Amino acid sequence: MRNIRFLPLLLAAACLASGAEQGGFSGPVSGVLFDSQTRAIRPVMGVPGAAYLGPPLAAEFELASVSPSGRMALAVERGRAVLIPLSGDLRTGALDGALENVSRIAWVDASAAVIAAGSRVQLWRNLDQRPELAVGGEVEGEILALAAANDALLAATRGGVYLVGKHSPARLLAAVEDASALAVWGRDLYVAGRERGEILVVRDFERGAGAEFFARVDDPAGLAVENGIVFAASGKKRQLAAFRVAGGGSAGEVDLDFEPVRIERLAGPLFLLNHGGANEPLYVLDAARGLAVYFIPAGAASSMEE
Amino acid sequence: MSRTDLKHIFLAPALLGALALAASAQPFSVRVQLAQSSAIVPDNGSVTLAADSLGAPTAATVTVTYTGTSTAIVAALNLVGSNDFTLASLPAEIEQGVTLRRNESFSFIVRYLPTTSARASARASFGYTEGRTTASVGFNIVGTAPEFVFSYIPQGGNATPVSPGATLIMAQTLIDTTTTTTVVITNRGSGAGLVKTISGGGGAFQLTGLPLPDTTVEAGRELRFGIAFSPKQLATERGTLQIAVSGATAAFNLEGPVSGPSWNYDLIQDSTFSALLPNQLISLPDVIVGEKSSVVVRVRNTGNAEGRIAAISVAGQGFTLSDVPFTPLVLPAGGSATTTVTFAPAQAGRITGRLRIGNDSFELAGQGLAAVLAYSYAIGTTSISVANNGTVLFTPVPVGGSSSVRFVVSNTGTAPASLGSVSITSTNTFFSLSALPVLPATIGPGESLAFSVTFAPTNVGTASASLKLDGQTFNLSATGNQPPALPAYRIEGPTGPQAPLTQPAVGLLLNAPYPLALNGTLTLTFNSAVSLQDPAVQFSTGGRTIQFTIPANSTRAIFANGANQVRVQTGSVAGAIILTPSFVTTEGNINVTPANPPTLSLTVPEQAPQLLSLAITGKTSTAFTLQITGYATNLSVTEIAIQFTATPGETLAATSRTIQAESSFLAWYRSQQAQQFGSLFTATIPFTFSGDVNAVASLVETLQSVSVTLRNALGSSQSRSIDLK
Repeated sequence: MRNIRFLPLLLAAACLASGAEQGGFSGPVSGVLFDSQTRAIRPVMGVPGAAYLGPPLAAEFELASVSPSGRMALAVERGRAVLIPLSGDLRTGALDGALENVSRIAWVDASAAVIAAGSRVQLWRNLDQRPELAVGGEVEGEILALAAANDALLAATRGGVYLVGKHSPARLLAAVEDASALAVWGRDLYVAGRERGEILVVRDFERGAGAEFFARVDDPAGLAVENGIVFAASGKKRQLAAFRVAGGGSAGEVDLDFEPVRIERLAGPLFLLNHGGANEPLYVLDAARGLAVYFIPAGAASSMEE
Repeated sequence: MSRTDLKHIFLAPALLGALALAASAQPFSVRVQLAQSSAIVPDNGSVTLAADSLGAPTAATVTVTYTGTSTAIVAALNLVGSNDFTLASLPAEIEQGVTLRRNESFSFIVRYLPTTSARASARASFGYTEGRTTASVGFNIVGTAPEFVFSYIPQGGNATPVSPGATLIMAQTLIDTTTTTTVVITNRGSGAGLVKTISGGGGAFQLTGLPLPDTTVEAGRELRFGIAFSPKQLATERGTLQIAVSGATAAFNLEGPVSGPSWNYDLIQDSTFSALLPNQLISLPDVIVGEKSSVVVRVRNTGNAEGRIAAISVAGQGFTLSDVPFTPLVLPAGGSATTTVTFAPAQAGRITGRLRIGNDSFELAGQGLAAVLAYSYAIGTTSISVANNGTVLFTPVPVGGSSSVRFVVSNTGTAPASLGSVSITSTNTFFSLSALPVLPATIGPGESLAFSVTFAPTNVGTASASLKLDGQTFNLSATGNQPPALPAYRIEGPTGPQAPLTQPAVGLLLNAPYPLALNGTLTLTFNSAVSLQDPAVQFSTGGRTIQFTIPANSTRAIFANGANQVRVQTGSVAGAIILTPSFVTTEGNINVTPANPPTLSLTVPEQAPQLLSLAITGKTSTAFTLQITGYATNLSVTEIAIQFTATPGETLAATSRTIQAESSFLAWYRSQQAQQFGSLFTATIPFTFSGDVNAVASLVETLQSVSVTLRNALGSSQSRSIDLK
């Protein structure tokens, strides 16, 4: 049974004695995420370096993804897509017309997300108000990675990367085999080609097509672009590499204690690098600090010691 | 009985009496001197000369003495009768006449040489003149001689005369039976004869009922004795018989015809026939105990009569007969029968027995083959035998060490043995097998097989197990002593003061390899310096304990996911993070942690407050809210210094503001909510503005940016700014 708690993001604990109006204190929460281990939506209490996964806000989902604002989550419950409010001003409800058995979710912004099931894909907007299906389509093959920009859906299959427009059928942007991740930066689409170990870029993807080499990364498992830096996670090498969008030059690399499987935004400059596991914490990249990677232990020390 | 001298002369008393009566009528005394006796023979008396045998001469000396009172002239000696009598030694003057005075005499000899055994007679006489009287005197001479003839009567047969040199043929006699042939010695002569000795026989012949030596057989009488013929074999028996009688020895041949069965035996083995003699050894094929081998024995009657076999039997452990003919078994001549001798030994080794067929027996022998397994174990050069359910003692060894014995299975038997399985059953895992041969294995006679049993305790105390070799069980008993002390170790990683909000990695390394696999727990203790716990102080795997292992004979601790290190999150609260390991043996869970285990101490110092971020929310034309996120390891923020920068062209009444925030922070840090965040905080400060504007549209727009600095007794944070545009 799903149990939803609202996160007290603002905790008025004390008044600041000042000439200003009344203020307060709260604890910093770095974001909210779906913990696949507990199949729950959980807050990241604290900040990287002093953070841990807080108690579940809602649980028993097959899949969930929290919006960048942390105010809502799009979850899959018993095969159906549902909206889970994480603040008190939102409503819970099934996403009527959404695909069933969604396997992938990617947020476009705080109120828009793309979902995929098999070879079908949808873009939903206005999720915090009155959800509406903006784009729907289908590509050839099972969708392995998702991204969205404006009214365009980007889906990667084993056969290539497709653009699914609102008024046009799916269009093959690039014949990239085994694309493992997509990232949009401006008008460009970055594609991680896992098979060939390279990052490709499709310039002005809404209009053009064809990919060009951007950088070489062994076994790229995740991809993200933040502040003009392309971050690529190498699974086999257990490495995180950064490249400048401008020119593709290296912006550094860092060895990891674990094997990264994704680079997905948690909140702000924080990106999730793995899913965690029984003996493996979650790891996040704090892009604001360059290639700073932190682990996030699952649970507060005191509760775990009990 | 009679004596020899009495045989040569026989004077009948009646005749001697008559001789005496007549003596008074004539003047002569006639004395007859035989070999050892003499007698006066009256006129017309008789003298008997008994010869020992035909052709054997005998003689008598006759002395004639004149008993008258004058003289007498004797002339003309006459002998008439049988020619077997002759006179000899006559006086030379007998022809002229011999004048005899009183008591004078002359002698002559009467000889008797019998040519037949019939009674011979003659008359000897002489004439004389005495005075005017002329008369004659004479006496009769009788000659006798024995004559022995022989005959025999085979048992069940008729009398058959037999002459010396001939063959006495016995009645046909069944083998192993006896017939008796009677030999008859008949004296058909006129005088008694002497049977001196009877000898002979031999072989299957035995003389029975023999008379004493020198037995006299009167004329017309017979003497009998027997010859027992007891053939033991089917062939005709032969022997001799000697009968010594007066004057001669008669020799005879003996011949015994035999009838009966003759048993011949054959051993039939693998379709091969071989002759078998009674008492011969029959070797049965070697056979494994529990199995059987057999041979066939055939008996044939090669004799000339049917034979009877009363019984066929076998004696000896493990020997049995099968296909035995019904007994008594009567086999005609030329007939045969077989029986099977089976050897099924119940034990190993040479086993003997006997087979009996009728009167014949045979030795039986077979080798029972069996595997006899002997068990021993060796510790070093010392070998110790151990029996089923016996105990194998191991040398005590410390936990982590090992003690091995070489277990040997020897086949001292005569058949191959098979070893199918070797296993150890135990509630512990201290005992193990190694160097096992490929099973199932065959152990030939005289061969052995070995493998190792190792005791490697992981627990202190005695341990036992069962070593099972097919159906044999051996108790394994051993003692595990205390494991060796843990070598010194060190916790690798940073020590001393550490920056908050960091995640340093630590590892653990033994100074020397330890022989046992270890399980360990690294425990994190956070001693807050400011009476506030920080839930963020954890290992990367979550919580404040983490397990690790140290493989046997290695030094490095291995944490989750095979990592050599584990990271520690320092959090945001001042205090000491102390890492303390403990160690137990993986097997046995024996605590080998030193009494005072060295620890690693990381210190998060008390320091000036730190600003992490600023954010503007709730911005309106006259107000906004400033969110300040930061931390203070000592839970102290005394002042928040806020610096406003005016938009160019605008003038602010006050460009800075310092908020005395110590009590507010103290209140926050004492709140229940703050317990979840260590010293982290987000302070929300709403600002509302009033006044006039020059070149901008709203009061808020008169602000270019806001800078914030936090302070406490230990110093100030770095200043952070946020652009309001």
